Amino acid sequence: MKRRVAFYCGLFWLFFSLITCFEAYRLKLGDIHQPGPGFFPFWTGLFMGVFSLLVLYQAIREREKEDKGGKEEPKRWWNIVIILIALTAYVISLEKIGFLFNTFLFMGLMLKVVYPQSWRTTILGALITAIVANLVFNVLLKAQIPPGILGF
Amino acid sequence: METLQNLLFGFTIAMQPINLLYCFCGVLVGTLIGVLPGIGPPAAISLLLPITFHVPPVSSVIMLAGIMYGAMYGGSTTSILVNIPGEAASVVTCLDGYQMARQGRAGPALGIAAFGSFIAGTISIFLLILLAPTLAHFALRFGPPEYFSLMVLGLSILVYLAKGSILNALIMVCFGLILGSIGLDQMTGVPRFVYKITVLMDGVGLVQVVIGLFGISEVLVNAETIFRQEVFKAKIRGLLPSREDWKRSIGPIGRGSILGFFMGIVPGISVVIPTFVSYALEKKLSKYPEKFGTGMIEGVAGPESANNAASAGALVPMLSLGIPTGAATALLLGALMIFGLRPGPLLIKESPEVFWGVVASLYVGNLMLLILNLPLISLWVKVLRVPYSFLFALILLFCLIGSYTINNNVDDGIIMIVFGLIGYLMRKFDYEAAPLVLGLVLGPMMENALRRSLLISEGNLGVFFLRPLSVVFLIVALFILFSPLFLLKRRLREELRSRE
Repeated sequence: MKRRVAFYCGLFWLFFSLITCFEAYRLKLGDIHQPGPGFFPFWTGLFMGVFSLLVLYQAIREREKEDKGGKEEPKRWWNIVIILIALTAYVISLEKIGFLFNTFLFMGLMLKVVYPQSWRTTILGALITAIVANLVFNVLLKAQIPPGILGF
Repeated sequence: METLQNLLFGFTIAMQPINLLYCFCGVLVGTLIGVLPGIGPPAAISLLLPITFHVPPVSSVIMLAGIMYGAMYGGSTTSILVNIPGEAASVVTCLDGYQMARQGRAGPALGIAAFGSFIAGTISIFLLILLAPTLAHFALRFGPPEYFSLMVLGLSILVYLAKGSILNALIMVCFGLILGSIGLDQMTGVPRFVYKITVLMDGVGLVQVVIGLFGISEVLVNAETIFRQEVFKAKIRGLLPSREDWKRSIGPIGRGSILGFFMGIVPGISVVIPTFVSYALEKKLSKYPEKFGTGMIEGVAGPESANNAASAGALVPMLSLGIPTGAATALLLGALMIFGLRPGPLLIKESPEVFWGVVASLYVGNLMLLILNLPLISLWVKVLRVPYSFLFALILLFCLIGSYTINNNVDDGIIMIVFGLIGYLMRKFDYEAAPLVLGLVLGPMMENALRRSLLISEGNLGVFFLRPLSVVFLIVALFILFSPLFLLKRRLREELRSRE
């Protein structure tokens, strides 16, 4: 499994380095007397390509080690997806909905869905956090986070 | 004499009421963040950095240094009371610190961690005062080729000391260097890898990247499993170590301080390795090595002193050469640059109030940590009892606010989320974040130094090999990078011989 992961990672970085070199070449490398904007990223990409080839070579040569580990706890991968979607939604809607309400919704979602709490804990926790965060960041520290359409 | 005068000047800056207040806030907030499992100094500094934008530069740096020290101390509290390290440098403290807590000696463990950190901080600040100006003076002889070679050396050491595969670390360094070239080219003003995305015109922000890589990814990794925390429940009594405790700890504290400081200067060693080395040293020197891991106070005193001293040691190359040695100092460097200051040999000359103010505030911060944190331990224990099911959401919220308030720009939040996902994938596939962060910070400087060197020498690459300092740095870097191959060759030869 580890060998396969290393192989695919090596492939990914090789692909990344090729794209970097190509884009850097388009920026113009200049010459050794007067390096252009693409000079440094091009050579860095080239080095990255060499290292990725070595990773691929190592992954191909290494024998698969036996997995002696015990049964792993099942991973709650859905939490990752929920958190990433919630973070993105928070950021996109922050300036429209506003800090206070957005924070309340975000905290509520996290407390109810990721590590489920009771409704009472969720609502109280989200409300208190939103109010305190607003006081600390907007009022005390004057962070100027937007109020949004609700005006607060 | 001049050093003493400068230090007194530094104290007049650090002791101004406003700077004392910022130092106190930094130390307090840093400890609070450090107490939270998984958030170490880099994430703490990056989360709180945007707050410092509204504050004068000297005060901001004082506050950030306080956060760094506070986070170190907070990490040891979690290690002793919960057996979960607050940050990487406190892993070793768990071994004996938690055992001491289980034996009803949480107080002396916490006390000696605080006192040890204070003494180590004091010793290392004096060493910093002696070394940094000397190094800065020496570095005035550096030109672009020396700077380029020195940065290559710094990155090589970091890669060599990487926990996992050296190849993976090298790839991360390259990735960081490439990320560092996003934005407008310094010399020609040509946009690079921007693809008409406005937020990338100024480059990929260091703060957003670090919050994502360290803060968000930590929460994502923990969210996959059911997080169990067991806070030590008995009342904490007697924070002052006994005479016997002091007798056993004074040696480890002294050794940890010197060891930590000099190791902290080296790039890549950060503050983690000195703690392990200190623990191993104390175990070796002890009359009862078999008792380590069962609650030996030496196992707390040495590593805690080493980690505090290493933080001060890490400031030497950052302040005097402008070369950070790890993620936390990379952030401090980034912060200084955001404030329009340029760490390096000229910092001491052109902005002495910054350098000496920071040095003096380190001492003041250490003293504050000692005086304030011991009585506040019960508060930190209450913080630890907040269930992780609630804490993780707060951590995410701080990350979101922290990234947004840098420029009041939604796009910075998106960058943070992207790097949060990248950081999560990096952890899953055994890629370290520190080489990436250092590559990102050093990339623009390295490129600048390289291009200037080639311009000066009219394209002659020999400029790196004809200047004595530059060639020494490069030879050491090459030796460090290729030494695993020599060791492998030797091991293979020995294996073949033993088979024959």
